[in-house]
Amino acid sequence: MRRLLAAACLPALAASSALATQPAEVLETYADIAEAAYGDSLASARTLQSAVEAFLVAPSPEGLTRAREAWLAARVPYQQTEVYRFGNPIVDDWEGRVNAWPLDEGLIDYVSAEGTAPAEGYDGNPAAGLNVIANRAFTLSGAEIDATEITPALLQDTLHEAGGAEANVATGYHAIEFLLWGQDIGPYDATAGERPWTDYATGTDCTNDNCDRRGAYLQAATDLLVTDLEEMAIAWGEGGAARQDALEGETGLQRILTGMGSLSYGEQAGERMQLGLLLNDPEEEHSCFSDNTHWDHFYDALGIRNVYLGRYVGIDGTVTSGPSLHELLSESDPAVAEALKAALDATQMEMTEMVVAAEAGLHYDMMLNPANEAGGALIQAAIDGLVAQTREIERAVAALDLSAIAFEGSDSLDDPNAVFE
Amino acid sequence: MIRILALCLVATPALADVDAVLDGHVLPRVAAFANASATLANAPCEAGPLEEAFADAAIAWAGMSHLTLGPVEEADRGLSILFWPDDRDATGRGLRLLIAQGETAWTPDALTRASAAARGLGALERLIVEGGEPCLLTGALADDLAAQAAALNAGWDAFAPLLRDPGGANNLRFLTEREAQSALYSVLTQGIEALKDRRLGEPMGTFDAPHPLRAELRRSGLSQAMALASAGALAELAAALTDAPDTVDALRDAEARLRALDDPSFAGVEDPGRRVALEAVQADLLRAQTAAAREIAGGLGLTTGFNALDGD
Repeated sequence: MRRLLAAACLPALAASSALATQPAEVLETYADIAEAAYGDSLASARTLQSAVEAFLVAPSPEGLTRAREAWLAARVPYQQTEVYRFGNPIVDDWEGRVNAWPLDEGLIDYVSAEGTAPAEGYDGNPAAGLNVIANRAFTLSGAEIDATEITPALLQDTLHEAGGAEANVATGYHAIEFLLWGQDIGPYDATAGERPWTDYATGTDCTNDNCDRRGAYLQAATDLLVTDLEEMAIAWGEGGAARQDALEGETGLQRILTGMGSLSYGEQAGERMQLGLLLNDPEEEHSCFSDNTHWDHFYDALGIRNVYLGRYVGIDGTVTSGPSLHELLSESDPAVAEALKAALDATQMEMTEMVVAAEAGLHYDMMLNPANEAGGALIQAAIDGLVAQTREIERAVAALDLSAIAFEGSDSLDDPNAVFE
Repeated sequence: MIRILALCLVATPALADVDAVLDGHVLPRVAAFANASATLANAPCEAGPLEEAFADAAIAWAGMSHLTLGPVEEADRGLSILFWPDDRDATGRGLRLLIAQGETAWTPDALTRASAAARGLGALERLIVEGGEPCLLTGALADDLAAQAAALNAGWDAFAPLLRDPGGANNLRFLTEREAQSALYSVLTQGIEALKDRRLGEPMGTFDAPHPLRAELRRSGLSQAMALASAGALAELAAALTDAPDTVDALRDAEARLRALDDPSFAGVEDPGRRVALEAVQADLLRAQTAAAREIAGGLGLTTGFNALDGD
């Protein structure tokens, strides 16, 4: 009944039966791309898991390098999935376990006061200097914690977001990144974290103490990443909860545009990029330990473009594609459709320029240096692109007349009692 | 069901009054913040006068901080006026660096390149309330704030005509009247959300884990006054925007409740007996959100745009 009414209210959608592209097909493509991209994220996390296992069995400089390379490769598909976060409650509820950021890494392991990370607790996070790798027992929010064994459960249930502080990131990509690279000490310079492989060495070769516990933490965090990604890959497969919600939920196409707009504006342009530029603070660099931030931003933008154009290139070259939102919108409002595509292309080009400079040696934290005006301008241009594309996304929402769907979906009107008043 | 159908078919929208919002709400409030900031910049470096002028500037900011479109949106300028919430103490970190850098870093030009967290009301609060810091830096930061406020005021002179003339020649920002109206509606809903979930929600945390140290400008005891000013401003905006009696009523209720409180820094969030008053304000604001969706968005056929709170 609700569907019929929605159709009656919305001329654009009511006419859709006459159009070549159906909203249901567009959502199908959306779910297929999610399945492929989370599947790739899982596959590459398993490769990381194998590399970590091999490294910990026989620690060596080469082994650490291979684990780092596997981590970098794993980021490529994962960042392209971020566009699924804000439109899909199932993803948003889960995401904090996998890609939480920024983190007070002093919770996990030793940090140097020379760096910019908090080395001890402060107002917002009394546990910022906890260092669980060095401490087998400690007090957390008034409770005595036994951390003799470092297990996935300890990380996920006790340490993660401990004390309600979001900076207590104990799990996910960035915790693993910190364990592989270590703290990035020099702000505004070309070095990333320089953790020695001997932080995982056995016997007297061990540096910075507690190498066995550090290894146990790295293994536990990597295992958790794999199980968490398994959960999301299944959720987008045939019969999975996230797929079903996307295909059958009430928000329909609005979900795709909400994810695109929220990631573009509030999250990426604002929290992840403009904030770093305003604070000139390397702590605001998304992958500060590995200096991989430029690629994080690039693949986030690409993921937004993927779901609009209905096309994803997988890590083995497999292309997932189908009827797209762009095609659907082109049929009802070609001007808005083209303007949105042009805006996404423009952003991708700005991101590319940022990547080119970073790969040539101008690391992202060097761009954040207030003295580096050219670097800051590269970041700002990418931000401006994201802000501009958000306007076009808003225009697409209006052109598809999706506002009425969101309105229909509001709490008050979904309350059955309100309907019969 | 009946209600939904009625909304769809009887949509003869009342006009959103963009001019009324600009002339009766936006421009006076932006000007008031510029004046209060100028007064702070001219205040003598003595505890009493500084604290008083600081409070006036902060409250004037709270009365316009919801106006995030236009000049404030450019390069996220609001953050260098008040960097809050500051979960990871960027204010402390930035200010320590600024003090260590010494006087050469305190020139008007150098401050524009300093960390946003080391500028504006948050940094000034530390210097004024905690005391003992050089007057020279306090004065420089107050001048910087006044300059930013003046730039905002000038920026609105240029931006307001775009809102007044959507679809006009060279107006790429607003292509239709509906876009201009939606932008103002978004500002209202974002402002209500920010008041409910940030100004109140940050210190409230959860019942079991309140965070009184996260209250906005708690060191100077201005948290309550900031929330009060914000509620009043949002009610004024809703009333100017269109005929939205339920929205305005709910916001006025929130305002009255905030005025009646005696909890300047929201330390009461830890006391179940006092916390309940803030929960009642949040309930008023939730009611305002629902009413705004029905009366304003529903009435005018508007959509909410994306805003800075959409991230996590």
